[in-house]
Amino acid sequence: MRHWLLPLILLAEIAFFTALSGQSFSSTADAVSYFRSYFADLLCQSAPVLLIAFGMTIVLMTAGIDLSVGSMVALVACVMASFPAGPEFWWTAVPLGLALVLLLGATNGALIAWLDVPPIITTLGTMILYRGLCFVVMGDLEKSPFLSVPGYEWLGQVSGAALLLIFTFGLAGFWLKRSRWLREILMLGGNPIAARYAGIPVSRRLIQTYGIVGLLAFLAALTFTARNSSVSASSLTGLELQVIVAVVLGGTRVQGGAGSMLGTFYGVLIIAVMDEGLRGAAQWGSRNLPFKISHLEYILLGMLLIAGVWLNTRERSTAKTPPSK
Amino acid sequence: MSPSLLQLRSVGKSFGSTRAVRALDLDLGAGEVVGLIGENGAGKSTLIKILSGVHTPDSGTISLNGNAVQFSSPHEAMDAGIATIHQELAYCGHLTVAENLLLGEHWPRHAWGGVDWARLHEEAARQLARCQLNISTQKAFSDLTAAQKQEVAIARSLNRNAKLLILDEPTASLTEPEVVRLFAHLERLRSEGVAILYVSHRLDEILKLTNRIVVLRDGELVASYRTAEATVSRMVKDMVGRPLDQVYPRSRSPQKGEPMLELDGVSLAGLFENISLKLHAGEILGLAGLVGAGRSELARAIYGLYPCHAGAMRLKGRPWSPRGADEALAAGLVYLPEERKRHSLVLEHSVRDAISIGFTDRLTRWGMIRVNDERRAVAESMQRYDIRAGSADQPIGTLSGGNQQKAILARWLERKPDVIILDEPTRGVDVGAKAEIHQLIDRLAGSGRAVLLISSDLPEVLGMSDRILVLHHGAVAAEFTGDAMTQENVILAASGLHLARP
Repeated sequence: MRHWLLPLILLAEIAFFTALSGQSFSSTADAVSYFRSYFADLLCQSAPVLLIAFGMTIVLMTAGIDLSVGSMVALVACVMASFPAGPEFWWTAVPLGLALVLLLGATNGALIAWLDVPPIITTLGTMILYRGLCFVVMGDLEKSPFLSVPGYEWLGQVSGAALLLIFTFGLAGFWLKRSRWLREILMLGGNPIAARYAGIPVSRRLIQTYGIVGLLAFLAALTFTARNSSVSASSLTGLELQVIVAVVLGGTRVQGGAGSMLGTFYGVLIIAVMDEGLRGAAQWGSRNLPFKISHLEYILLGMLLIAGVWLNTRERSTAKTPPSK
Repeated sequence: MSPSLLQLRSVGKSFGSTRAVRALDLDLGAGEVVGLIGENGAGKSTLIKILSGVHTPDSGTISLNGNAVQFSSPHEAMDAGIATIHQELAYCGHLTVAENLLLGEHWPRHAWGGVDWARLHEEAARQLARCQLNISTQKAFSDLTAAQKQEVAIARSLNRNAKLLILDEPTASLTEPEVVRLFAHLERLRSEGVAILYVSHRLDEILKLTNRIVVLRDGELVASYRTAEATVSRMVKDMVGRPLDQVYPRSRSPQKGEPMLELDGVSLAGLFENISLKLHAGEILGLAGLVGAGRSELARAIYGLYPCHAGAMRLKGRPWSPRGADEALAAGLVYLPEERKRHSLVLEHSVRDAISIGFTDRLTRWGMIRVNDERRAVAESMQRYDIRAGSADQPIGTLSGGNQQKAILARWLERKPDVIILDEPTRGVDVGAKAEIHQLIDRLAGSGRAVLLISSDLPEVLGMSDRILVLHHGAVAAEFTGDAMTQENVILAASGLHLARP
């Protein structure tokens, strides 16, 4: 059902918000050029979320969750921002940022695997902790060295973002989908005891999973900083919410053991279109309503999350009914 | 016999297609101690759960003091005067003895509504004294010994005017002096007119304590007699019932090969102790014993899931101290765990995934599973092990128990392992699949594999094995070969009587 439902919702949403924005097209060429720039914008804008959501999908497959993603992206951006701009940025800040974020991710995984603390609590802790580190690194400043780094800007443009996304989702579609690694992750998420009995190194897999989220957080930080050019200690608060809603909406179960990358892709875009659409409708709303339309965002996000989880449980319970012997 | 306190008439209870208890009649008089015995799966726990209000029977009537009763919750059974002391006591460990004792009762309060702790502890102390217990009411419940916990549990039910006390394996975690103390306590209760239903695998205790014995087998009450007329051999015969007429496949030669797995004084604190055994190629070694005797724990330790504290193991002649199941699999050792759903399966995953997860390492190139090879391998193995499913894409949870079990066997046997540990391989499996699995096990041994067979199904373990080790309380109680492999010998050894009565 998801396979056609999600793209349908996405199209309906785009149509709705395009109509709402009062855009009128005089010719086909006009429409094509409008939608070309619309989608280019959408892609660049949602690139960080897409990258993170990809990692979150794997985390949810293990029946885990990672609340620290927003803080992780912000922290690596903050650390990189404290380096001086210039060509040397590429071989100082960037590799250091990568190492740091892998460490942050693997720390999440190690805490969950070895201390046996539930993921939601562990990553809530590191979410706060990493955010605290952002403030230690940045104070109250807002820094923007990024666009002074030669070539950095490209990462935030369509070609850069698209390349990163194609690379990541291509890897997912081609390698990950058929990998033994993912098979083991799915079994681990569906039944951790059975996974251990089947000889799957559960702790190692968990650390790898959260490490991958770290790696993706790094890529997300690159696209985010290249597009927004500046970063402060409170950047990207609430990113984790958007990501989780998108992944769940895409059909990945919070109970683990199943998930869909394509679903996640649609989920992120549905939310990005809504986000953008509401912002565009702000003008319209202020004249007719006692509140700003853009302020509806969290309400809609909450409703989407609950609807998504409900749909997932329903699908699961119908799948479980045994037809016969 | 004293006037009937509890009366069961043609009580039945089914779970799905399994009839756990059928057409059961039972009478219990005040001041009577009745021993309830039966093999694992005979329906004892179902009967206890019916009496304690956990399950509602599908048919039949229960009357208490002549009045028909129907319990829809354990609370109602308790209010009616039936108290059950389960093997695992459900208590709040961090609360005090007094709080646990009076849980759910009306607690004394101060005028302004707070709990009057002084009076609460006074009341608790009075109740404990009435049962002649000397335990501080201030102590945290989790700090008590197993025996003390049980005593408090019994005191608690008596203070609620229990007329019938059901004890399920009460001595499982008690030491010898504690057992003596418990028996004295039960004797006193009996003289006060409390009826006791005593459920145990320990036949010596049953003989010592009870007035009457009832035997359950396959959900039916097959015998009931006065304890004075009972002997151990009669009880065993009634429990097992079916003679060993079922034919078990034995196509293999009796020749043994090299020792494949050797254990020397292996111990794991609290689970098993000082276990030595040798398992040879081409041999089926049966491991019998009661549930909780440490059989599965031993298997898991060999498989690398638990670390051993002492002793040494050798696998195919080399020292063996695995740190995880992956090492065991790589070394050619597989383990079929005891509970399918808990230990082996993700019910939503496809039959194909469930089977191939055991040997994906052999289907992988550059980390990717070669889908076509997997498809072929799984199709072949479904045919070889006769796994009946509509398609390999079907969720494994939709298959019958027997087919699920065969799928898990296929998962491990496709690895061509040398040492195979099977834990209850035919539990919850229909008769047809059971016979197929038996033939499979025979063929495995015939082709030179070493098989360690753990089973609570006595005829099975006797019929399949070349040799039987019996575990009792985590230690090897006896080893039987040839003509000594009889049901009576195994049951006696499993209940710890073998040494006492040669």
